[in-house]
Amino acid sequence: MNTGPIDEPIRLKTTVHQQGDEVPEIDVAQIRLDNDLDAEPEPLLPPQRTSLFFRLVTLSIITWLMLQWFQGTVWSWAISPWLGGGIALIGVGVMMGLVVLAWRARAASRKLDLISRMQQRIRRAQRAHNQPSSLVPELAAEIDALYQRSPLNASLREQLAAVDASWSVAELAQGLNSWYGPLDQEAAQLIRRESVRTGIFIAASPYPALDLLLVAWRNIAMVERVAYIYGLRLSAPARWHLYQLILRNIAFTTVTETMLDSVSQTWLSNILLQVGVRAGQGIGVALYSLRIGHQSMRLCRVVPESDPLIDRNIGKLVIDSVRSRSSGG
Amino acid sequence: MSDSFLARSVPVTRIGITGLSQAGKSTLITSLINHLENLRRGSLSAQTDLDLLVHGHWLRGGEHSFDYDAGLHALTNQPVRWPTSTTDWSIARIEINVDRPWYSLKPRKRVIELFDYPGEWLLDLMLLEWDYRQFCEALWAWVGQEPRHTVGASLIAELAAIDPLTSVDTAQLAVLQERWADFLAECRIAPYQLSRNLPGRFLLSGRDFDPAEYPFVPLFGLGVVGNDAAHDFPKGSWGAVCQANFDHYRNDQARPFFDQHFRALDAQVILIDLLGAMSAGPAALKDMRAALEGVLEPFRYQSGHWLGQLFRRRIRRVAVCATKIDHLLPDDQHRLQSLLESYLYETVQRLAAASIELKVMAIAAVQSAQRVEAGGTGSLIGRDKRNGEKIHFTPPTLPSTMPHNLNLKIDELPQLAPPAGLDRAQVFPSRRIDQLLAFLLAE
Repeated sequence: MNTGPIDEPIRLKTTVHQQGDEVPEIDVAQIRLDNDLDAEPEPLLPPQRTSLFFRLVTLSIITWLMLQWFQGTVWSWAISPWLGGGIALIGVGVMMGLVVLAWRARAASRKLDLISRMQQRIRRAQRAHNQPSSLVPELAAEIDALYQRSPLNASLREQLAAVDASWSVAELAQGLNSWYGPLDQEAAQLIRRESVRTGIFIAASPYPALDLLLVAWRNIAMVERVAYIYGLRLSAPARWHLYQLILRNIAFTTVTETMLDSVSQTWLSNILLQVGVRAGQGIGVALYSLRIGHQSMRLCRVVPESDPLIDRNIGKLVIDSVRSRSSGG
Repeated sequence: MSDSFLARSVPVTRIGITGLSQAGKSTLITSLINHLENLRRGSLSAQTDLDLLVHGHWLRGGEHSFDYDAGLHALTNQPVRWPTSTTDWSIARIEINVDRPWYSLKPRKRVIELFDYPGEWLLDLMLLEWDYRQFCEALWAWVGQEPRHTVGASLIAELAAIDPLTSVDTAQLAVLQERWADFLAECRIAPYQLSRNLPGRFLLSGRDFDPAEYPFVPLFGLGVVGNDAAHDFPKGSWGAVCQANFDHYRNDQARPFFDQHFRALDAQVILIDLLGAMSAGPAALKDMRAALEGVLEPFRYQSGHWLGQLFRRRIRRVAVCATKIDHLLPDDQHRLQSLLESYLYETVQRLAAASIELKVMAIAAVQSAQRVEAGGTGSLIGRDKRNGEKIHFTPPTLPSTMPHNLNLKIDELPQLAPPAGLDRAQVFPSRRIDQLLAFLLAE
């Protein structure tokens, strides 16, 4: 066997800082929360699943409507050519309107796809190499086009002015991340504030029906304001995706409400216990609101998050705030 | 599957779960059941591949049932400890409700069977193709390398001194067999953590096999290994007895096990303790890679080969998972994934052509360390498995690529106990279990 420095393994050392009772206790709830924040980001939009059944039903409805319109036009033409022409024109107008709406939805969806694709391309390029790339000017032009009608267009152009083919994708991402910095901070503060507020509302609210409205209202307002901060108007599919998340939050509120009602009649005669369960419900809603806000931020940024957009401590702060204020109130 | 617990109308997906030395099979199975029981909570609910699965229910009872209660008892009672190791094969069954559209003709229930068996038995796959002489030659090559050479020096010398053509001393054979089993056991644990320990049933015999009934040991005498190996052993000689008992072991123990159980497998998970092997050093890393290559080899056989028929009939997905990554900081967990990919690169490349979906992953079945941050630097806190004391440590920073000669060694990485406060009604904190399940269960 050869001896000498070549055969010596590379030694990787562990540093032990402390051992014994001085080390803080491990908190499983905190590990769970850390994992939620560190989790691989869910796709910006769930994959589209249009079932055959849904397509058939849609096609049948459209065919039926067309037949009705055609029949109506023929009958009314028999009564009076003016009436027939009018109905024909109304039909054509409605169809053209629908086509325009579909076209706009498609364009909006493309915009979101563009953000999603851009994030993927940047992530892939960052993993693959860190060299100057011809991809950079191309990406810069696409980002500029995306923000063309946004109020932030001028400051973004200023940021992108220096970008040329000598830049690497990592440098471009870094530059954009620093440009997004103040926006991220503002959005994160807003989300934190809104999450705590919604959580406390739920923890303190005496009316179950009001809870649902509150969650929907606060969450939708939060999504809109996050998009406004980033200078983008969310597309219809992005909105729908976020509203689905909001609906799930409402479902959580409903389920916990029902549980609370049934349990309170049997076990929770103790008022302190009731307050505890209410606070738990508030924390759950607040954390889910945090997730909705996080997803909204991701939907509005063309670069993938390098550091967590929602700091892990925010989750803890939200829990502490809701817990302390709900028990205090 | 004729031995299925439920009627055949419910489709059954059987997943084999095994692991090489101390990889944490029982913990993984307990965690998988816990995740499936809590399908709509935690990270599993975000897996788009599994969004049709709505409710999981562990089925208690049945033949050779996995003791989930014991796993939960270990992880949730005070003092918490890791579930005890697998000593025989068992099956955990979980019934899943599937949310399908009303017009779908596909079944609305699905049963997942997690087939747990000792990793030591999986290694026996390597000897299925050998005769006794090839077995001795392979082991002779292995014991010629460090650290086996030093650990088993006296035993190896004794086995090499035996003339296989002389009459067998059955009492001495029994003693030697026990010593060989002890040697394997010593190689398997720290500080050596070697993986190629054959025959596997000498370490864990299972309830239906007693190694003492058919004793054999590898003989390293001149008549067995080397160019001048004898063609036939005289009746009643060391060589003849060991050969006959080896044949019995191979044909009546190892082969029927694979024949009976592997035909029904849809997917296979192989757990490895990569961090443990890195702590033990380059020899353990090399041995583990060779063992993995050996056990994954049958997947490459052509359809005419009996092993090929056995493996390729159904198994379509294989996941090789490095466990216990929670002992590292998040950035190093990503690096460990890259290290694992480069460590198994050759094996993955060979299997790529065999239309097997192979995924290498770095996971933690139950997260035992909590991250703390102070002054912008991260570290971990946990509870030392050996003495139960709390420990605050910074794990080493891993290199981003694996050295080609595997010359890497981690010093003093603590072994952690599970955290207190786990609850069956909530998803156990873990790493990438959701992704593993999505890979194994995707339709």
